[in-house]
Amino acid sequence: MLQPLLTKNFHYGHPATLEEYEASGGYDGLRAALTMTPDEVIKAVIDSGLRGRGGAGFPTGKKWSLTDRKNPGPRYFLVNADEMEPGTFKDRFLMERDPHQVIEGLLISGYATDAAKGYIFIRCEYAEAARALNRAIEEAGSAGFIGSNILGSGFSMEISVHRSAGRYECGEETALMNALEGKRANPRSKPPYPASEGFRMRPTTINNAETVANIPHIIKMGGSAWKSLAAYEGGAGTKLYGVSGRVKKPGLFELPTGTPLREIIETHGGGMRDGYFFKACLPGGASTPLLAPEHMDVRMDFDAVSKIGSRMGTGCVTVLDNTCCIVRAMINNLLFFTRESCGWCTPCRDGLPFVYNILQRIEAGVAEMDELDALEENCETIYPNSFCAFAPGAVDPVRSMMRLFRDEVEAHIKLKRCPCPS
Amino acid sequence: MPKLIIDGLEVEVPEGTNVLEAAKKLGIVIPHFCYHSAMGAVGACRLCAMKFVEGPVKGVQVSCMIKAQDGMVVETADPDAMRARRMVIEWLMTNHPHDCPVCDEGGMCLLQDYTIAGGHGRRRYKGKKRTYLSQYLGEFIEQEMNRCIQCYRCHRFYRDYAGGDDFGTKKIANRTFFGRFKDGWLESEFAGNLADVCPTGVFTDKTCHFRARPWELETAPSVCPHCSLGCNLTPGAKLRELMLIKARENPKVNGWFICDRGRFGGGFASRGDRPRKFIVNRQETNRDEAVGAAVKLISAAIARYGPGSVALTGSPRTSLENNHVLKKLADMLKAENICFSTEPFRDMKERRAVSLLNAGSRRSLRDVEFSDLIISAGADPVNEAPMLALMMRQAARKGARVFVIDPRPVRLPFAFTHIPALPDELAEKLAGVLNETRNDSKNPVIICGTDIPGIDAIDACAAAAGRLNCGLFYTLSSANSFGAAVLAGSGPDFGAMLSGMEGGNIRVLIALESDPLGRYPDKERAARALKKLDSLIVMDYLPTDTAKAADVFFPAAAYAEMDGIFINNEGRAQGFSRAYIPGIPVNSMGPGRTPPELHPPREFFSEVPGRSFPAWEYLGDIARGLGMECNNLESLETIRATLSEDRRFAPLAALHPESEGALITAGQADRPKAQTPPSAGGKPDTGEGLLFYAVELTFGTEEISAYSGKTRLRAPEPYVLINSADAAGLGLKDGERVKVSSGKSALSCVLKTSASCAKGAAFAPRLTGFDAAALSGKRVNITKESV
Repeated sequence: MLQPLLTKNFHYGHPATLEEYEASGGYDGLRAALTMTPDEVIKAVIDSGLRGRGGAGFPTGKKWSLTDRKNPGPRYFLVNADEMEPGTFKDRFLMERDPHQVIEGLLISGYATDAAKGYIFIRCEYAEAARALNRAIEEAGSAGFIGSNILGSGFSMEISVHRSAGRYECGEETALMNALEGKRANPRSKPPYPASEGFRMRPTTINNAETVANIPHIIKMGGSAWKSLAAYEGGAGTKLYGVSGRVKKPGLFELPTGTPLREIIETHGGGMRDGYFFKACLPGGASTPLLAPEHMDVRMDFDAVSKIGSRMGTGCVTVLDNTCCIVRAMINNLLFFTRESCGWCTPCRDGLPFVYNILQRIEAGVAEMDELDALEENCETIYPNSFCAFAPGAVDPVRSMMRLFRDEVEAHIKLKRCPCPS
Repeated sequence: MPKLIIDGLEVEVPEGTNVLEAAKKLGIVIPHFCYHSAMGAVGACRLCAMKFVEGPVKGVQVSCMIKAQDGMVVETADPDAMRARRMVIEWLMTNHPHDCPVCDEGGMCLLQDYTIAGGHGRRRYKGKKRTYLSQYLGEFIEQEMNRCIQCYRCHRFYRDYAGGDDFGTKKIANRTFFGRFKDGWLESEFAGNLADVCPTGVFTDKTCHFRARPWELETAPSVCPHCSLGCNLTPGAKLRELMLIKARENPKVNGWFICDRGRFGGGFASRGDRPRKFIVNRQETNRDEAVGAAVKLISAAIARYGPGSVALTGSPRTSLENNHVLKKLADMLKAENICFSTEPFRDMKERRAVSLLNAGSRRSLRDVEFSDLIISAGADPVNEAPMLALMMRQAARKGARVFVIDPRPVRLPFAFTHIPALPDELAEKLAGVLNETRNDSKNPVIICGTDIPGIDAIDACAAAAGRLNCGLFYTLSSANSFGAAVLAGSGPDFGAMLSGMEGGNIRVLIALESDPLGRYPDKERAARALKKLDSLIVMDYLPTDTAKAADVFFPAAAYAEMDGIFINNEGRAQGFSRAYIPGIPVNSMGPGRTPPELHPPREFFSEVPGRSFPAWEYLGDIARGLGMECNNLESLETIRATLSEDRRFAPLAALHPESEGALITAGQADRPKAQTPPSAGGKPDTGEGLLFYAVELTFGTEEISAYSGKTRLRAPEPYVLINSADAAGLGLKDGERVKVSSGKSALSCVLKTSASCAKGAAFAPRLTGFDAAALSGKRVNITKESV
């Protein structure tokens, strides 16, 4: 059985205090990192094979090494804790149960990228997590872990928590920077990339909260030792997997990266509730394409899930059971995305409502068969032609529905009603 | 210079050009909404998709976001790209109300054009359309948000380009709204450009609301008459009414935009009380008789008193040709009393400034945008030359440092350093700023006003510019102030003429589009002097006091009603063309107001009722009537030919409308002496009280637009502005009614105070019916007005 790393202090049931955190080896990673050079820290992260936990899976070490450290600065390190992905609740637990872990990770990350200021951009609704973080920042500050000349190393860093005004789009890194600057949360065009011109047009590194929380463990264990925790050769470290839906034990589990989907749902999630069958799942949030029963044995890792036409995303699985109408599920999805679109580009702002409308018509039994062509044409043109990754993520599950569940969709049209039990 | 291939055609474009522009250069116009040359590419509408076949980027991409690079091969008609464009149009049209029949944009609507061009024809979206409540945005701009396609051009123009902060983007997703927090006038002086930048009918010109289709408008390339910058515009008239004015692009002058004074200031041309009749001795007559009467009066005066008894005043607001013909007439009459302005002090300062500009130092309006250091002395750009403020903002956005040395609390739509200084301290402060900043600037420009600064400041700016190799940019009062100043040279000013009238030497005054009774600062003196005349001959299109007092009156054509040339503050001569034949607008003869002699029964006239002609025609007639040899005044071509004989005007030979203009340089020989006329302004009186200056405002003070009802809506109540500490010293509070007095003259108005106003000075706008000019340059006492 794996020794929990990220979740080791979750058992307290309250935000781990500084004392509790240090008792579990807390801030040892920071102490170790401060004896290393920033390049050595980056090297360790590269060796660890850690990939971004926000959903895109960009190698973290590589991202850090891209940060423009020649620029006179100031440089910024941002933690993306705007966990707005439906079905995802991993960062929330990290911040609510062990806020110091995120803060320690941010300090080491800031040290490696020579950032003078760190911001934790947190989802509006996560009031409790924000309180826990602020309390932890205060504790860590009084203990000398935050501020000027941290632990006598000469390295200084300030940390602030910024509560979002609340928009899904704030999770997009450049939109997050705009929001943090007080502007509308519209994405920026890239290039320039945040590594050279990010927050306040200064070099900026931005990582997901879970990514950052892994850093202290990588430093303490060493990159390759942490990497070997994965479930298979080539994977890296541990990952927080979540399961929600009609399973017996929905929850959040820290498992070796690459644990098969079946094991996550059946072993850790306790399997489907009695009388229900697994019909499909969104493997990592509402923007990841559906997986069907035939995909149950896929390893939950970025590359493996991509290979079968989906994405691991956040690793928080939303399970749909046999009573669930796939069209209705997609309507629910699209309602979220049409409302959350920032309104910047046409495919997203006006294309998604079109898709939403066709889905509604299908569900209501009033759609004609040729509307499926319109649906597909919409999805296929929205996907490659939008400004940022929002709209592709919104239509990707619908595209997978048309691939995997076309019969069910057509049945709606033929029967002129929804074939599923209501 | 990257070379790329678009649809099989090779094109070479400057570094940094995007592929959409590169295609445009080949004549391939791909539909686009959010991209605008002035505001750049943001990639929001996603419409300009092209297929990139070879080169550093591949696949279907929006072309505005991709810089042209060597080796690119691009297909615009690729099926995938065309599908992407068709779908974008289909998405945009899902919520559009299809209300083209009642939309003012219809006929000039990019959405109409691109819906057709994009290939979307059949509606597949069956959902409800999203609807908005539109806002009241004032009397200039009409908003109909339901037509919005969210291209963000309005936001990017208003906030980013023009620096306005009372309008912007609200809400998200397909409920995104562009407007204000609540109903009310748009505050920016450039808000009218929203009607131009909006690709569909969300923002339209309210002054033309429901009145004309674009194809009904008679238009011509023209130049704005409302300040000295000479912004290019396209006036549009329907049935002889000047209705819709749009910006016209000139990369050397205004770029793409114009200010609201220029856009909405055209109402003067269609005023109900515009003088449209030939008048002799208060009696309506015809052109020939008016010419005959003028000839008789002039020849009688010359016969009795000699040529010195005829005085002529041209105008800084009329065309170069009109002024030139006036001068020719004076030459033929051997009349030496000719000037081209009725405001002597401003006239002499402008002549001085114009003579100081040379080819090396002068900068175009657009050049200001590319300066990295701007020092403005004694100018209030938003109020005196609004588009200058917009160009200064663009420079500031690119990182230029801006210093404004001025006693007024100058407001600009960006951050700058304001150095309050009284007019006689301007030169000294300018030297100080130059000492501190000059060394780290590559492309500096000095801007100098000619309204409140004295001759010393005007000279100091030119001297500094010459010494330090800086650009020099004077703002003048009117559209053709430069041309008038060159023609006037070192000749007499209007003050000298008034003396002539007072002394009885001058018996006839020919006033060409000038209004001595309304514009000469000491109105009482002007009225007394003009009363002594035997006859007053006036040509004008404005119902001025002088026009009303005329013994012989000729209705003149305004700028959009004739061909002509204005020379702007830089010395750039720009031609403008006739958009329509002037006459009584048909609208004012419509139902309910039809003069019985016209309808019924319906009669057809071959003549335009109430037709006016360019003043040079009348002047030519008079010259002929006086028996002068003047074949060369018969047509505009011959007039321009005689103009070009003057070496200074030689560049005019190459001028044609829609060109960037021809640059004119005044000779140094024309430079008037640095003397200060004792009247109106000049070196301040010494003594007690605050130094008073009459100043310009964006709306309400400029001579022509002051006769336009729409722009007057934005003119404030008369006020006097002083420093807060000065007010406290006088025991006065902001908002109180006060009496501003000097000697016998007094004004009653509201007091405004500002901490950034220079101490010891007071400012009031030259508003119609508020005679601030009378006190200009004097020491005044300000006291609380007793009720």
